[in-house]
Amino acid sequence: MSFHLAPQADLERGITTLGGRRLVFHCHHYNVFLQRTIEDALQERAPRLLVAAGMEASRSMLQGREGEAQSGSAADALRRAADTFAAQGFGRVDVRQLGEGGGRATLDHSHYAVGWVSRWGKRAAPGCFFAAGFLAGAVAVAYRLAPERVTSREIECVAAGDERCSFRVEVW
Amino acid sequence: MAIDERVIVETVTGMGLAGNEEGLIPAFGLYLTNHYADFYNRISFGVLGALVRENPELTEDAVALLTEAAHVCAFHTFGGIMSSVEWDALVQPMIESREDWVLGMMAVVNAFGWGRFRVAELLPGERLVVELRDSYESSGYLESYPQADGPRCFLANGGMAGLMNLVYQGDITRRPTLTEELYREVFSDPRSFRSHERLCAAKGDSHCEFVVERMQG
Ligand SMILES: [Zn+2]
Repeated sequence: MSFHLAPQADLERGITTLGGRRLVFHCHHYNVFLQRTIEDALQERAPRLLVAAGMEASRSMLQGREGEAQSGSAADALRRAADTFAAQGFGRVDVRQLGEGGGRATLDHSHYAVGWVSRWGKRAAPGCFFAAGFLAGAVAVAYRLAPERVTSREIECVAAGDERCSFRVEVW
Repeated sequence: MAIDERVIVETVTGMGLAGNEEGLIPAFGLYLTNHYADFYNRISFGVLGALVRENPELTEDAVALLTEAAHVCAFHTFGGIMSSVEWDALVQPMIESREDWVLGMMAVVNAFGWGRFRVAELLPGERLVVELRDSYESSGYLESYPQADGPRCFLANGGMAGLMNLVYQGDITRRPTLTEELYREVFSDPRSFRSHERLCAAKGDSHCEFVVERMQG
């Protein structure tokens, strides 16, 4: 099954793709600094942009990749999404409580939370916006839902002092 | 032995950098992600667009914010890589001069999916000109927005300045600790390097090109 997870690299052009979308390596310093820059600049509007961008990016990649995958089960698609998420360095997400009506997901070792805490310590509110968007994208693709029907919010976050990161995905 | 870019690109690609049992990618003393170009592009161009719509006079400030993020990226990412055991094993044996630190780092970056960088000119301690093809910022920009009126590769542009600052200002060859204090010291020095993206595919050029020079020559 793991062949689905292998990105394709064109070494001549310096391009790596998965599901037809480009992947780029970046480290936690840039990831959390860029996020903080956007939060400072946009204030209360920042989470919407960060979550929507996470959803858009993951949805187009997962859609492209599911087109190549063999299994039609939504649970398999969600599991593949979680495996991809871990392979890309974002942490281990448990998606077993997600279904076509949404649900809850928990995330251990969230890259964004680990990165944020290592750079600045705790923050006041949850900070794993990309992960929230990714989960919304994964549910939308697995159950073939219009993206406007899916929202996702982080309700507990290690970066905000909680024991783990967890997310509430809602399907409207 | 000179820097062998092909060997470096193939070796770094062959490392198969992927999440461990925790789903994290610790490498080069950093936590890496194999992230989505679409995500960076949307949030960067999204925040730029929002600030400029509200006040067109903020354009320069908005670009400065994204450039600052790129400087931070270069300082820690490139700095971390050039201080790592992986660098010692793979690149260090090929290094014969200070300039090889620039060329070696450029080769590593060419394995990161950012596009293909090529050093066109390197005047030791003074000036760097780099061409970039298939930049993920410019190609992502053109997919979602009309042709730009200025350059859009904010990350790559700031990254090139950061690389020169690490090699010729912060003296990464002596393996300094990459603290916030050192970052401020290096980048606020009046003779530190800044980069200008002279050509950019996002504004219709055939490729992107960065010219890095000292603020005060
Ligand atoms: Zn460009």
